Amino acid sequence: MKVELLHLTRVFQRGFKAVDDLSFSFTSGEVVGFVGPNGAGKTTTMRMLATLDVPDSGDILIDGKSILDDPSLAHRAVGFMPDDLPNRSDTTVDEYLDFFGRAYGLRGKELADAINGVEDFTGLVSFRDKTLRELSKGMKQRVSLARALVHDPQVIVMDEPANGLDPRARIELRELVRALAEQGKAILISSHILSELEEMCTTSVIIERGRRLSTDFKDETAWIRLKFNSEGGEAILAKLLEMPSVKEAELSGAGFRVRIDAGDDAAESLAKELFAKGLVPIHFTSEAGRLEDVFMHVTKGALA
Amino acid sequence: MKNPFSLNPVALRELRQLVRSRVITWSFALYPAILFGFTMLAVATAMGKRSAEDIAFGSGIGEGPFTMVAVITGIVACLGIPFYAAMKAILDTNRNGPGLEFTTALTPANIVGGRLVSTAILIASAVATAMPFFIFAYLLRGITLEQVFLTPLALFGYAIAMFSLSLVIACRPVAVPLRVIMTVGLFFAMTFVVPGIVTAVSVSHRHFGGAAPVEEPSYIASILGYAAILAALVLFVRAFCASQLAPRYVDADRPFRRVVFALFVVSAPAAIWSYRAWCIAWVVIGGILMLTSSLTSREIPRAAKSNVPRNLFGRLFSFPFATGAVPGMLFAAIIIAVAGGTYSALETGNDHSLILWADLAELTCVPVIAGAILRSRKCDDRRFRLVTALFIAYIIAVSILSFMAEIDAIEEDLVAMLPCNFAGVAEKPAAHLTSYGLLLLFSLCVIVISSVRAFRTYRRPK
Repeated sequence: MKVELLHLTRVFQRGFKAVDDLSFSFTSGEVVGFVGPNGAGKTTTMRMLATLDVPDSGDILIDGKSILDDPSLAHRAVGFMPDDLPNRSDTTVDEYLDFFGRAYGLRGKELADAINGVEDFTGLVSFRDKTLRELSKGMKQRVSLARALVHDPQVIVMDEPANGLDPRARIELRELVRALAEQGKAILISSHILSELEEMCTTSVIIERGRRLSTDFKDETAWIRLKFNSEGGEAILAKLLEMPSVKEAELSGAGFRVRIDAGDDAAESLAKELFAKGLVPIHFTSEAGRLEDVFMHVTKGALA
Repeated sequence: MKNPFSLNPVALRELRQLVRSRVITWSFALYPAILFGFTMLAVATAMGKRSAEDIAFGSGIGEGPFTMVAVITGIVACLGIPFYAAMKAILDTNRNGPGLEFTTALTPANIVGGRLVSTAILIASAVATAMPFFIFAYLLRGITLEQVFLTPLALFGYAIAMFSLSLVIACRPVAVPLRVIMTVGLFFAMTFVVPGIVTAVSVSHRHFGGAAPVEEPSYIASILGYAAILAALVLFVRAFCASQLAPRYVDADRPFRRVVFALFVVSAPAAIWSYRAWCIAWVVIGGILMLTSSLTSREIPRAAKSNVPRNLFGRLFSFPFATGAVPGMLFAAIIIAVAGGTYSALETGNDHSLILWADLAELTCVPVIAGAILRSRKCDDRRFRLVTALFIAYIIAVSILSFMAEIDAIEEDLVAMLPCNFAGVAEKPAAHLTSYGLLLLFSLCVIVISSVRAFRTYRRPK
């Protein structure tokens, strides 16, 4: 299944352009990180994809068919997980999913199977009779995901799913997203936690002021974190800066960050130079953060 | 919906939530106890006032308990439940746009209909709970069988009407506090009306007749009339609320206007009995429709454009039903023109075409022309709305004044002095043309003001 967003524009009152000529596409099995500062137009774009809003111009195609011409296409194919949590506090998990299952037209055994399936997938089986009021934020996120999956959509749109979750819940959510991608779902996911997106996304789209930013920027360098078992930070920093492979070095907490050329060869050279200078690191790790680097490089941090 | 007879998912969800609601659970636990307590109190009071001999010779004591049960049921069914359901609807309705229900196969009409059905079931439960007490009062004599069966029906109908009105407020796209205040105001006002109506309905022998239905069946026509009005109200509210709640991809106005048009056509025979009431009612409804249409920022969605007829005549007939400000105003203009023209023609005996055309011009052409000019001049929405609101307010005010003159509530001479008055137009054709010109002049002033405001120094964007 292929989802194409073509030249989408959405203008709100007073000419405020929330989304401005935005185009990108993604297909089954892909997990697209949708990144941008607050107010960049991420939620508006996702709402348009879920038919909760309509673009002023442009189109959204699912397998070549426009959802603006036939919104029921999106109703069948898209599962939308908004950033706010389910708020019907007196409703049990089962009833909540039952309502949405029925709303999607499921009945009888088909409905029961669908509910059991998503409860099983999201780990909600033991919580099915609890009311939403009794659930933690992480569990409510799972309910929200289960709701988005109850009609077995092929496209999943997740708006800030990790927002406010504790580390454990985040890891669990990441596993669920990976499992969905393995099932062949096309996933569009927005988040402020770039390192996390980097771990689960196959590609990313960065927007600012409603416009897609070029992600052609290629960072040919990498940051390495180092830690030594000896005193004298300034002296070590001076030695690091003298090394041929080091382009940049700085103190970072109890250790150092050094920028070298990207690739294993440069890392190997750095290791050799460290030993040659008599510096034996007790900590030598490459720093994740390519997406962060790209993000910081291409965005200006201004709100749309 | 795969099975058209399956219960609406929204109704099912609402009923499940009602069952879980502590407020509802406690209320339904206490309600029969309160009914029992107050009925016994009323019986004791009635027995204290009557001698044993009175009672033995058929002078029943059921009237007091019956009234007591009717008032309590009225408060619960007509005020309590609709207020609770309306507040719930307000809090559930997202002001910032359509909720997640609209990403499903449910239509806006399904969603509003589900709320109406669940509330109707709750109201029916409350009224049914009171039925044993009504029957008990009947057994105490002094009450007719018609009262016993018609009072709960009247209460049910009134409660549905109350909830329908409050649902209209709940579905308006304004801030939640404002909707809450409006709903509280509505119910506060109705609190003073309900007990009076219920008492009048329940104790008035004239209303439902003391005689058997076989002897005097005239009230059946009244019941059918009330039922028809209630059904029309519910249909209207369902369609209106659905159009208000609908997301932008839905051709929201078309089903609503179809319902209004159907009601307009179906109610037309009523004009045979009272053309004045029918015409004035539809002129006022048309005015309200024109106002709401002028306020809308909706446009016909792309999904609906594929259904636009290809031939010219088909498009011409379809256009007034399409979503958007201009089709809406045209639709309202047609309603006003037909109702106002009918009134004018019947009132003046069909022999004064100038009067008829002047009326139509004032009632329909002026707002439509002014609206079209303002839109074409790209006036901002607020100014456009203000002008339309003034036109509509003017038409409604004149209609109401005319109606008041008809029922002798005000002096007819006073109404005749109004420049735009389709009842007193025969005497003042010149004044009509003057008012026509004044209204156009006013819209020209607005255009000039808007143009001057837009005539600004160009500033290069930073």
